[in-house]
Amino acid sequence: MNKIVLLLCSLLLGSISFAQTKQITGVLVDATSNQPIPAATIKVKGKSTSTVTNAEGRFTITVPVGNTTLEISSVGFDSKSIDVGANENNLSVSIEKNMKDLNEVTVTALGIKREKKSLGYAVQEVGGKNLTEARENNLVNSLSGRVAGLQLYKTGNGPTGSTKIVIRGNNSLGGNNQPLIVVDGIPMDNYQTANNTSEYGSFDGGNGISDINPDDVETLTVLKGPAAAALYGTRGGNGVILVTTKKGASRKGLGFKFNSNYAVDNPLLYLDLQNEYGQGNDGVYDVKSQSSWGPKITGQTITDWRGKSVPMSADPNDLKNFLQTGKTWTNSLDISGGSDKTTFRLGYTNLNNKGLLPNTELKRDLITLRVNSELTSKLSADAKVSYANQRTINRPQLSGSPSNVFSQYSTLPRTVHMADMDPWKDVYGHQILWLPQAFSTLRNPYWLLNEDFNNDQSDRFLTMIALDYKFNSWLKLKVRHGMDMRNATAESGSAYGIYNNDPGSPSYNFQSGYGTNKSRTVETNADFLLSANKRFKDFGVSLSVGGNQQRYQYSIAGGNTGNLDIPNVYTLASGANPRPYSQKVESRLNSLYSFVNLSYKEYLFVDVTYRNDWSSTLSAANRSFNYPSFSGSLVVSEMLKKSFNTSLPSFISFLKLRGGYAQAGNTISPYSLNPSYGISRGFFNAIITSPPSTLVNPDILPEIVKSQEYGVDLRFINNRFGIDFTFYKKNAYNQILYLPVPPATGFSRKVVNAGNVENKGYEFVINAGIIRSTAGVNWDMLINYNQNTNKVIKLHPETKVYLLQSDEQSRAVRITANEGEEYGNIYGRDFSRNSAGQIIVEADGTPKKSEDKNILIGNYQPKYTMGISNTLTYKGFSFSFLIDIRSGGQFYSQTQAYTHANGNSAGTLNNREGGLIVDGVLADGSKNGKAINAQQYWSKVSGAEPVASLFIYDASNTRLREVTLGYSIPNKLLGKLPVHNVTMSLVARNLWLIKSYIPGIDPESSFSTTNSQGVENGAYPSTRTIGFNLKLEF
Amino acid sequence: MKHIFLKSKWYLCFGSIISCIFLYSCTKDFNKVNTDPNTFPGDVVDPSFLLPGVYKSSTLDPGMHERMTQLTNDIFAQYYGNEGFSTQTGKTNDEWVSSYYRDYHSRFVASLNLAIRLGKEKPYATNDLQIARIWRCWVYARATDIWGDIPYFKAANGTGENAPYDKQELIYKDMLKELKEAAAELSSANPKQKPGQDYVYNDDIAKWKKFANSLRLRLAMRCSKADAGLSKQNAEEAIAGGVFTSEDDNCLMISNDQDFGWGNSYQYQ
Repeated sequence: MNKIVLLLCSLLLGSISFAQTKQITGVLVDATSNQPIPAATIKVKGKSTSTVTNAEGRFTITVPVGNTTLEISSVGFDSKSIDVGANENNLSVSIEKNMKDLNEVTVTALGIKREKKSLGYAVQEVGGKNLTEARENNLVNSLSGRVAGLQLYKTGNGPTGSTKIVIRGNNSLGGNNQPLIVVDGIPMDNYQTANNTSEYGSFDGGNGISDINPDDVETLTVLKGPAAAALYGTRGGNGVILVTTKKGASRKGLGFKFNSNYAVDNPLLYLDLQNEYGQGNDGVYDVKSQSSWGPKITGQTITDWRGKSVPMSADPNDLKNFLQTGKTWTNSLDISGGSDKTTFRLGYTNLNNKGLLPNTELKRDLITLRVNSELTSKLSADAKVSYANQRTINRPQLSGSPSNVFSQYSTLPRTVHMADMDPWKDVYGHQILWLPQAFSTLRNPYWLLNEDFNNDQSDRFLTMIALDYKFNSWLKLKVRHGMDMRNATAESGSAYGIYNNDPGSPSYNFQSGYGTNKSRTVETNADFLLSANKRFKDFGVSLSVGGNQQRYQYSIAGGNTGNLDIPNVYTLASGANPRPYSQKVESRLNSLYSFVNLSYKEYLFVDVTYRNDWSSTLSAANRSFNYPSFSGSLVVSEMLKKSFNTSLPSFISFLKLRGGYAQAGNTISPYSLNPSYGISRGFFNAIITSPPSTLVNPDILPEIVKSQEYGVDLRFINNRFGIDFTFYKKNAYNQILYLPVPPATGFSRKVVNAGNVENKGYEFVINAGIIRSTAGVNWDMLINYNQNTNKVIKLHPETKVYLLQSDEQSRAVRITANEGEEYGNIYGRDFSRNSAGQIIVEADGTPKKSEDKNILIGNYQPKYTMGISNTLTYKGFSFSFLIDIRSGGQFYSQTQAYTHANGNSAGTLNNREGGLIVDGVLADGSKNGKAINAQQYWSKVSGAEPVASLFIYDASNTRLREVTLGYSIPNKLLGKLPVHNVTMSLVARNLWLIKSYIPGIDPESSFSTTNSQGVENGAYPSTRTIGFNLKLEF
Repeated sequence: MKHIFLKSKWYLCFGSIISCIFLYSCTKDFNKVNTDPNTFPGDVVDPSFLLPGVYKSSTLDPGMHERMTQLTNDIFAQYYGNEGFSTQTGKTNDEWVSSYYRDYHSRFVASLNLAIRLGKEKPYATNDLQIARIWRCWVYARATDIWGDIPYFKAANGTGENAPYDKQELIYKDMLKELKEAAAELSSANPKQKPGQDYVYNDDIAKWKKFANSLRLRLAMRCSKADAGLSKQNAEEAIAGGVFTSEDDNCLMISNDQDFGWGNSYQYQ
């Protein structure tokens, strides 16, 4: 114990020396492209002092007073020595790319840094700079279009909403499909809260990855599949996102960096509504109608719902005027420093966001302290503490919840105005509704934002401490411990009283309530890794053995009041009948792993990995699982040179072939093996329990993903152009399926392991240095492309049908994964058709809906996704933009179904006065000739259970995802000011939806992060963000 | 300071390796870790905990009650009419009927059978066991009157296996036998029930006896045309045992808004 204390002391205090030295700073750039070179080593000749350049290529190093020589080296560049005069400072150094030796280094599983050329699988990195300029509230959204094969399913849940990440398609039917998030070697809980959202509402509490501070991130590395992630075993089946955070750099004094970002949000799209016809039915004005099938608006005077005589009018800006401009202000400070032995970095970021809806707010404070120290020549330590505090006020209510402002707006007759609903309460404090009789579904939007509320707060600590010990030149040991602890509290209340002033039957509805809960999640991981590295002439051998123990604990306690006896007093005691609840969950996972990396002449590489997991969530007999992987890489270009004394044509600078096979898994949740008898306290406070309705299976196994991938990495003209192509195929077996059982068993379903879900596809990444001019103009392009087919090969002998959603999620459509079909097919109603495919029309001239709800009308997954990012630089200017393309797949909009049913949609304008003859046949086979009007038609085919095929849209879209225009003020202009490296940028996100097929609704607006996607209902509008970013260094 | 590290390095490193390896061998407590602390393990469930849920769901579940009692049975019996539903014309609604069929097995019978199984093992729960037997007859009487032959003797017995259909005649005979035995074995001399669980008769064993006998009388009357002898014998025994004589004997549950939602609208059985 004493030793650990000593270690920590020396770690924190360091050993800052103040000898006869001075500090010099400089910037290192690529001689050809003029681009800064990060992570290059700068060493003082003849001394042990060295430093590393930062992301902007800048370095600060302590040198002896007087003339000195610096040795500069960087992977992929020629080494260079430069003499520095006694008074020289603010150096600008350029080095040449080393074309022969392209030893790019990347982070791989377990945080091990390896040369890219040695990898037998695809990994892709995203630099931290891409996350901080054109910022997103949720870091993960910045990945859109930047990684081939990484698909984001964004929700239409506003600025605090979740985003689902899927890499190379869905593996699991009933389980998780999102990758594991690992920060500096420690797994992090990417908790999901948008799982319970259904057609009927709820709200989205965000997801865990948003607690990562983008300013802390050095790189994000995406391990795309089991081949890269096999060392994560049962947690690696869906891929892994490795987050590597920044470290301090040794320098004299302290280095300060300051970044400020101010951005405004406005809706990218508004619903496509009509403004020509007013409230009413059959062309007649009716103050109590919830539809816009009334008369044409000609300026006629009407008595509105308030009893006022007003000219009838529709206002296209009703919603726009109700909303405010969203604003996000993010400030971050980065302090770093240290000696050549010990460095530290302290990062702080504050985010303040106000949403489009008044009275909604998100605030975040993120602090990270990291210390790295070489305690002795053999022992080094790395310690980090991150704290994330998040406060949210009024997360938007979603989907079909009556409390969703956007669904309230879409169902409001066009001549009833939101602005007229303020004031929102009467003298008794009751909510004023424009149609009090409809109190069960209507809410006053002002009341929702001013009287009802939800708040949540969370405190999250991520800690990591790692010790590295080098026994000798070939043997080293790493021991690491990490913790992810989150304490959260949430409360929500709905206010007291709606008065239904219907003269026929006046009544009060006192529906109100309050609920609160506190939860705590703790995940700890302890691991070790012993590695031996040896070279035998042309052969390199590296052998590692390691292990990890994960412990997970979650608990929640809270209560609900039921109706409030005391109005507007939000405590549990205020409720008529408060009901408490609590829950605890615990699990453990032990693992041991070993891997061998072999190399021959630095051009042939073979990896073998093996991991064994012991999971507490499985039965004793099935607890132990192993996950092997094999992969290899052959650098043909180097092989020809080194072993055959020949070479490829000179324009091909690099050619690598790779391939591999791997297995990884997907965990099952705790307590799924034994029957559980749930407890609740019911009426009269009796204890109620009931036997489980699921027939559990103690022999259930975790899902297993078997994958193979093959790739080619080809580069031309001194690596100026490159294409990296990967083909992959992965099959996920042992799906956990719930099958219906005969009722007489006393159970409603049983659980079995079965099935095979396949993902097959290819992806390519193209790098192109399109322009390289001596005048300093450079244009770089990066294209990411993925095409994936996600198919359900097999389910179970007893069933060919699998519903990805619960029945409650939508009445109109069902999202499925049926045997022999593609994962994510959308089923719903169509018109009733005869054998020739003609629509069957009823005697009244309206088309007939199909009885069958299970008609295939689409699939939610894209055919391909592509991101094209461009960076243009000229001297201090830089301009970059990212085009994000999704092609194929469908999207069902319930908002469209509702706005067509009530005549609000612009799509209902035709044939208002009649003359609509449905192209179809009558029951007797004769052609329909009866004319109907728009109201008759749309009332029949739209609404809660519509002809879903009418409201299914092509989800393909192309958008200008991100634009930044930046200017760095040359340091010489700043003269003697203490500030240097001043960069100003104009930034924009989601600037332009270039092509989309859904009128007025963003195809990226589904309401949940479950495996059932592609359904929208009352979405929060997606926003266009425009901002300004200022970066300063001191 | 330096030599402390030199000395400690091997201890530190090997100590951590050994402790790690020790941890991996340690999966002994995994069964305990994976025992759900939020619920009952199967053998601890007190039979009396299983009854209130069935009292409520088998009578006052609003969705089911509206569809089966009001919109099917009552409309068929012409207690009243409602033109909005297909049952008005004497058609059954398959969706409602099959949902009731599912519910009555997995929600009512599964709970009651478990209470009976557990009650037989637990001497303190003799009265709960008898009440579970009586209530099961009430639930089955309704089911067999709707469907005729249904799975009965082996249904929902906890094994997860499907059960064969049984003849209505045998079901009636068994129910009459069950009610006879349960009424006989109910006794206030038995150990006291857990208070607060019985909101039908509030632990009044004499009233449960009357309910059992009255139900037996009802079932006896219903089979009077099928088996007059059986009917007569059971009716006479039931009356002799004591049946409902006043409103106070009614099998009655008072519902409220919060616990029953819109089920509160149906205050009759």
